[in-house]
Parts: sequence; C-alpha cells; structure tokens
Amino acid sequence: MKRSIATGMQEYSKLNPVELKEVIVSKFHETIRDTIGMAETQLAAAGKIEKTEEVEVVMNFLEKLKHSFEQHAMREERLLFPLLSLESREEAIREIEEIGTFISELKKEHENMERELDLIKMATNNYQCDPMASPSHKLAYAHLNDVGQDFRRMFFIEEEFLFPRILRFNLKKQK
Amino acid sequence: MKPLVIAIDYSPAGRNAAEYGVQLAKQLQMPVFLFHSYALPVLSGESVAVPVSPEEIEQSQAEAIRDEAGRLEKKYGVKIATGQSMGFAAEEIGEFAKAHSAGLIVAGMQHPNTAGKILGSVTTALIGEAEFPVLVVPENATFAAPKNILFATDLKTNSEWKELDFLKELNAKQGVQIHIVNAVSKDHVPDQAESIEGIHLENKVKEISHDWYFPENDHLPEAIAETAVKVKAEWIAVVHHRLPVMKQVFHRSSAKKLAFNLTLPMLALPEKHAGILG
Repeated sequence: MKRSIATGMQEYSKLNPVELKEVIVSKFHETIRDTIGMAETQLAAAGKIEKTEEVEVVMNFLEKLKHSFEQHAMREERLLFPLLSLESREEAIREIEEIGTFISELKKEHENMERELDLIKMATNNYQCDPMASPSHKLAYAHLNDVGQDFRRMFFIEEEFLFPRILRFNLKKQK
Repeated sequence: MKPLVIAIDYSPAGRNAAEYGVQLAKQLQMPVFLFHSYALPVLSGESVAVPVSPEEIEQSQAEAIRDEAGRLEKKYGVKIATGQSMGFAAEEIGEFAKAHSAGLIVAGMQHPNTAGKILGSVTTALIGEAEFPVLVVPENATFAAPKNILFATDLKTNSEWKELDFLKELNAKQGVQIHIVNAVSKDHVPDQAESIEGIHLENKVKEISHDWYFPENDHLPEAIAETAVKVKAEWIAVVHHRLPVMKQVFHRSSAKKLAFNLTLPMLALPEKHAGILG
C-alpha cells in the first residue's frame, strides 16, 4: 500500500498543470459529487426508517460540506482552471497580481472543508454505526468514509503539486 | 449619510417607487428627497385651454410634491425634503442628485403588461447618465429590506470592479449577502480575459460573505431569473452595460416561462462612483 501511494505521488509530480487539472476534475470533483449524492440518498432513506437525531445531524453537516465544496469546485473550474488550458497560460498567470491571494483563499477553503469533514467524522462516530442500523445507514457511512478520503487526497494533490506550479509562473514575473 | 433621491412622476409605478424608496431610506437611515421633473405644456394655435404662466406651473408642481411628501411623511414617520424643476427628466434628476451628493436614486418601473415596456425612456436614460446607483422598482413591488442581492455579471469590467463598492457597503452596514451569477450559454468556452477578471472580482469581494453561480443556459435571462429565485434575492444588481439582458429578464415572455416573480427591484450600478452610504 505504501509503495503504491508513493508511486501514485511520484506520478503526480510528473504531470504538467493541465494534466493535474484533468485529474482533479475527473478523478476528484466528479467522484466527490457522485459520492456525496449517494451518501445523501442513503441518509435520507435511513432517516425515514430510523428517525434518529444522529442521521439528521449528519445530514445537516453533509449539506454544509456539499455547499462549501460546490463553491470551491466552481471557482476552480470556472476561474482558475480555464487559465491552465490556454496556450499562453504562463503569460496569463503572470498577468494576475492577485493569483497568490486567490490560491491562499482556495487553501483556506480546504481548511474549512477539513473542519466540516471532522465534524462528520465525529457525528458518525468515525463512520461506525450500530450493528442493528439499517443497510442504508451503513452504506451512507461507507460513502462518507470514502468521500472523506477523496477530499484529503484532493487537498494534498492541489497543495503539493498544482498550486505550487501555478505560483511558480507568477513568481517569474516578480523576478 | 448621503441622501436617497426618489424620482416621482405620479404614475402608479412612480408612486409605488416613492413608497418603496421612503421605506428603504428609513431602513438605511438615509435622508430622503422626493423629486419631480416636469415639462411646460405646449399649446397649439387652436387650443382653447387657458394659458398658464410658468410661475403658476412651478407653484402648482411645488404644492403637488409637498402634498405627496406630506402623505408619505405621515405614513412612514420619515422627514422628506422635496425638489422640482422643469426640463428633461433624466438630466434634471441627475443634476439634482449631483447637487445634493446623492447616495442612491430610486425610480419606478412600469408593469410589463401595462404598456409592453419595462423601463421607460426616462429611467433608461437616467441609468445611462447616472453617476449614482439607480434602484428601479417594479409597479407591483412591496418593500422588503434587502438581505440577498444577486449581482449578474459577464465578467467584463472597465473599472476594476469598483461597481461592487456599493454592494460591499451594503454588506458591511446591513449584513446583506451578495450572490454573484455568471450565466453563460451551453457551448461557452471561458476565455482568458473572463478568467482573469473573475479572479480580480473574487479578490475584490473576498472579505465579504458571498457565493458564486455559473448556470449554463442558452437563454441567459432565464438562467439569471432562476438563480434569483434560488438565492431568494430581493434585488438583482447589474452594471449598466448589462441592461439589455436585464430587460429580457423582466419581459413578460421570460417571466411567464419561468413563473418568475416580476416584483424584484433592479439595481443599476454605475461603473465608477464615490462612496455611497457615506
């Protein structure tokens, strides 16, 4: 497992910004959207069967996380990522003095989403539910566990690989 | 605090805008002026009307506006100053607003079923000339303190997003939540200029609570209207050059299609202005 993670990270380090962007969108943004949707569906079903406060609390936290993620993903996909696709992306990025500030804000959003994920983890008792819980409840928690891991991988790839590459283009201007 | 100037023409839309404007001024704690511009009647050679002197017209206009102000003062408990002048309405309103360093102008918008027009020629000209934000109030709008404002943008600006300053002030002083919508057609490919301006805009509003929406819809007015409903906007804000799109948002055919609430005021933001609320 360790070796495959290391290999995976090495692979990411070889990707150019456009390829990294493709990975973020197709492997993470789309997957996270789908998984959140599945978790919501299962939680709603569990809520009808079990009518417990725990499920309701988790649904509320998930709703907040979903909103935070959609805002974050939209800003990346519509404001930042189009710049990476351009032939003249280095020049385009150099033109934006505030790119560093924008990326700092994206990182703060990662931190906020981390906190929201922690709340979900606590509310779900580390994604563990009662053995007598409904299948929907168990499936929902499995999806939440998966999506938590996807989020953290995405944050890592963006902060370790994508954002530094972008900032390097901008730093070239300052030099 | 800078004053709010209400432009009234005594039509149902104008009177409704006055009611709305006075309540808004009370909410924002702005001094308020009620202003009316009039033209001299032109008599033909065959007219049997008794000619009236300009002085008599001026006096009668002054009385009419004081009566209206008095009625509104009594109703809302707000002190209202008045003004009137003769001339082309949009120019006179603009001059009056400038002379009194207005923070905001409020004008009426006819119901689309009434005459097929949405923004009258005066309001359109006023927005075109104004160095001030202009809040255009539909005939059927009832006052609701703005809690959510939807800013509709094409991610193009000539003024480094200074048009957002008024919205930022409303957020700071009234806790108004700002929502930004950039509606595009389904085959739209974002260009470099839009992305760059989008990042500039995001940095402009980063200290205030705000959300973005990027609906893809070949009918842009429909996308804007749907987003306004989604965020429960009390106002839709645009920069002047987006006015043609906004007219379509309020057009009967769009509205019918969406069952869109036609009672949403529209805030036209000038591309550059001094501080508003003072």
